[in-house]
Amino acid sequence: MYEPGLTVKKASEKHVEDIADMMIRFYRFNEEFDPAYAVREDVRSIAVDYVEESIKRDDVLLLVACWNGKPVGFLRAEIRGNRMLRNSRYGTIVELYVKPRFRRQGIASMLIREAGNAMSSMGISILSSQFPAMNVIAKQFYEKHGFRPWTHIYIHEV
Amino acid sequence: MASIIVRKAGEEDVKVLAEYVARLKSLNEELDPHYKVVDDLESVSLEYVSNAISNPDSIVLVAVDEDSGSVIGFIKVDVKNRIFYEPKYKGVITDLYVHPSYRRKRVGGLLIEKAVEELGSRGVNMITAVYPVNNLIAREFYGKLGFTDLDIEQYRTF
Repeated sequence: MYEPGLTVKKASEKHVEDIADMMIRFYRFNEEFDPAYAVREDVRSIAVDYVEESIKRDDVLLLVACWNGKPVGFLRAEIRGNRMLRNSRYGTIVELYVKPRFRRQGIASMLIREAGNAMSSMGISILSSQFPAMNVIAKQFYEKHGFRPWTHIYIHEV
Repeated sequence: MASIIVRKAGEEDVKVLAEYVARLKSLNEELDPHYKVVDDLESVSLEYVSNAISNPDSIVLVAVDEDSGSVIGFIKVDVKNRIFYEPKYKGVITDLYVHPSYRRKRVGGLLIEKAVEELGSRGVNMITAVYPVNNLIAREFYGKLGFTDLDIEQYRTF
């Protein structure tokens, strides 16, 4: 089916290969920021499975942005929780990627907006995002979209 | 910690260095769409590395993990004539890459140190580095090593 222009929707089986490819690009970018993000050598064989599993899981939201029907970006968020909190469930954007050629057109903003709508429709009122502490571009991006620092994660090799 | 040695690059290093060059240029692509890489990045990188190794005005050094014997990073420095200025020659770091698994071990600093020694032996006593303005990882890295701003390159497309 021909889909003109930009669309954002839940990913399905037909998007798996394209999203897996972007997933690898995303992780290859992240690994530049900290050695604890170094990706495994056989990442390619894992990525397809990772994406397929994400489509099936109901505690994972996988959105795909398509330009004229071709995937150019995606967002993957996990629904997490803490029973001690009043907001016992929240969505966390774990991966978000837009192909370089399609940057600066508001595609990531659309993906975030759709993720917010999807969470809201599930009765979830908090959308968070995680990214490497050194990724200043991501920090600026999320702050521009109204996100604020919430939880710091520190690591230490033991 | 594994001991790291630095030596001059040879023909046997071309393949892995081309992979690192491609990784570095792909990182630049993530940082700014104007660095969109070419489709045949792999073959262009191979040619780039081969040319650099045989060019007497380029210094190409590799960092090797002595335990595994694998090349974990490299530096390419081009000696340029500053015809109008003193000092008359400078070494320009055009490429510096350390595999993500080996970051935070001062490998980059070691590569620069050895490049500086090599430049010194050629009578060159100035070193500069060129990288995308959005590469804040590089900016922080070079800043820590005492580099400050010299040139500005601006662009517009038409």
